[in-house]
Amino acid sequence: MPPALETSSPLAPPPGLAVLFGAFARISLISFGGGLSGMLYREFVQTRRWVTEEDFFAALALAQAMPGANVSNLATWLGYKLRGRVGSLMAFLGTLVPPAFLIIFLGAVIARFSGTSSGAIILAGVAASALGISLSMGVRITRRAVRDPICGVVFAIALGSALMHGSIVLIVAILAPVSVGLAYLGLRDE
Amino acid sequence: MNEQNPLLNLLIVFVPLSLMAIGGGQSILGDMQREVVVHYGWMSAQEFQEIFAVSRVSPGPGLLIVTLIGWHVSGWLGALVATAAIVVPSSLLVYALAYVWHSRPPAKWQRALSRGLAPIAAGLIIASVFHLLSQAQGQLVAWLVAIAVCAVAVFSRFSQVLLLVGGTALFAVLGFF
Repeated sequence: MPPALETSSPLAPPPGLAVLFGAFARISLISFGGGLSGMLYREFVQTRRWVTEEDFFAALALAQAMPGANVSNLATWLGYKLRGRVGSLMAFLGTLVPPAFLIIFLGAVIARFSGTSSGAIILAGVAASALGISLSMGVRITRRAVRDPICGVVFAIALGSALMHGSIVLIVAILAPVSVGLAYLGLRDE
Repeated sequence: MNEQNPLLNLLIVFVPLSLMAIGGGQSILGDMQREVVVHYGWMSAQEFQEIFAVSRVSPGPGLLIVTLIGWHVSGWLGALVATAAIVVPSSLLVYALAYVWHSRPPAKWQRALSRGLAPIAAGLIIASVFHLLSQAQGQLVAWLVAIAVCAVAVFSRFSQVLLLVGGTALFAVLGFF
């Protein structure tokens, strides 16, 4: 069922539901500052080998194109892929519930001790490092996704317009049909 | 609006935003602030900024800012309702797509979809990292650390905890100069 892979390492068997919940919860709890999908990539594709790189990037693209929190979308998708309906729920809950409790705790603490910033450097450092992990995923997906000049142009337009703070809705609405259509025509030729 | 049930108002605000948040939480923060501060007056602009800062340093999805807003408005129940309102509608949509996607052997349109969306995802990921870095504390140091961690992550198989600890140490050291 999965298409041919460049990375030849075989996939590991899908995890149990508790392990799945734990994996999402753990990653969600150690991710700061927008690095979550990069960490999921490293954990699920490279370390555990539960998902192929190609499947992960397809899921990521869809999770980003669909509305909602990208990460909970990605978790819902990956959970479904690995363990069906219940897996999807476990992944969703694992990603959201533990950090939701933590953020309320932090909100209460910070509201009380607003101004003290002893851990500020550590938090900023963790955030910057997490962004580095995300960037490495961006580099990897770019190398893989940009197969020909057309893909390169699509990539450049998406990057450029998003950097100029263009509306992401608009970017996806215009670029996605064009790019998918071209990909479909490309497949017809094969 | 008038003093209706605050839980209902949380739903009225966040369910539509859930379905509009293409590209993640960044794209709806402006609308969210308008609703929460200006329209419903649940908190001051200053308080919204504080809550936003907490959501930036707290782990987990960035959209959990709504958990704090809900908590602020109506305690634990408010937190639950606001969180569910922002994540459940969009997740149901993704769930439906995942169901359709995996319920039959992969067709050509699916391969076209993943191939066609991949370069867009790549561009959006890199752009959002740059965007977040440009607002990050420590500016130049943050950029240096992120690029260093990226390089190590691309060329090695270090665990991410190690990457985070190493990057944070580098950040702290560079921050002193």
